[in-house]
Amino acid sequence: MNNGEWYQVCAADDIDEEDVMGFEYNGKYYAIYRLLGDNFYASDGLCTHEQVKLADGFVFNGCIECPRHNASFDVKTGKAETPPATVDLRSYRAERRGDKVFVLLN
Amino acid sequence: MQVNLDSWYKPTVERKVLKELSKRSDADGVRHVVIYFAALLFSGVLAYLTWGTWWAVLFFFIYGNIFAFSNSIQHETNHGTFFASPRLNLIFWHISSFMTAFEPIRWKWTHFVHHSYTLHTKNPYDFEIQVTRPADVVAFFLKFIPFGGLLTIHKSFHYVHKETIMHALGIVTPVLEQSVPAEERPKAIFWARVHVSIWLVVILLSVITRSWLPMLYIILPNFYGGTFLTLCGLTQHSGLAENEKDHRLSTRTVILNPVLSFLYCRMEYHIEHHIFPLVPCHNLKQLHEAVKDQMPAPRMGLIGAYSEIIPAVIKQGSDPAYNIQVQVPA
Repeated sequence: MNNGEWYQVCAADDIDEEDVMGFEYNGKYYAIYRLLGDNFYASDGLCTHEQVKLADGFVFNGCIECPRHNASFDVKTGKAETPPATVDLRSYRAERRGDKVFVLLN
Repeated sequence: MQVNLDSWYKPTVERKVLKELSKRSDADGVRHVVIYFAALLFSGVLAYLTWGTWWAVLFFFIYGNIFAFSNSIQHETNHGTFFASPRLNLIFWHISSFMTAFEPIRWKWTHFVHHSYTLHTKNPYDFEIQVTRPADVVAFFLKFIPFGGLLTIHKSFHYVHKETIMHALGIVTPVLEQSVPAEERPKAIFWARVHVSIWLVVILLSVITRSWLPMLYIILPNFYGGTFLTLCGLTQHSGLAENEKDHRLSTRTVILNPVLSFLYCRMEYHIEHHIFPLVPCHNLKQLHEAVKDQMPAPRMGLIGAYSEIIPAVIKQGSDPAYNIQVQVPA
């Protein structure tokens, strides 16, 4: 099911490999990630522990680390991997179309 | 709970530089623990060989002080940044937690609070404030003296051994109630029981062998060997401002000699550590170089630090509102 709206977030080259970028849509904060190659993923943009912006953190080994307490989440699934985060991030589909990156938001 | 990082002061650092500095390294971590445990073993062997002579006092003092710096490894593995490997971090987190008598779950969660609310005295309370106000000046100085802390144990609200024993008995202390989520408390009680059980085995071993040695090597170093760790650790925040959202006002960076810097796992770059906790201790010196023009001038050595800390703590003994006024770059 593709309930939702494909939102054009940025140009593919705006994000380096193994990096993250934040964006806002309808007043909500999201994060979009690029792993090695052209693999893009997206999730809610705030850490589930204390609502810190994950885009200020870094992507290491497929996980985004919160800059505040080093909580980490699997970029592909949003799964909370290390404390203090215990609640998973909500993930969204992301894909590259041409030189743009889109995220399915709902 | 909303923590807006933008409301805390952050220096400007190029993102690529910060990411490079934030990378972990097994090589750095392994090198550290090999040198650290070799030094501990060497001093321990010398203490054993000289046992029964006055030389043993000196070598146990050295052994105990190296042992107490396991606290620095505990801190860095607590952040998960000492090694690249999560498994190595976990193993040495448990080893160093036992050595430094920190029940690991309690200290993991209070440290999260300490980073979110550095030196905040309410909502929530930072249970890692080292010198509470009004400062108890006598207790402050006793911290540096072997066994000195025991003289004020009745005043200490979170003396680590006392607290661990209470948790092992299943007592939910204020720190457990306020800092550790309810679902994590059974783990804290479990690990407290593990620590207390090992302590009991060591005490039993000392009784059976009619020798102080097991206790001198395993339990007592934190009581008689904390002098240099305390000298380093109390530079972090002592005398500085509480309830501020600028780590430059609440935290201190000190330049230490290479030996202390190694034992202390580079935590003397403490402002930088608080602002960027993703950066492993091994890279804090480079981070300091990258941001030093935006930071207060570091204090030079322990003498430089304590020349402002001691007068400030004495003043805070009678004036709890007093703190050192830090000059930050415009």
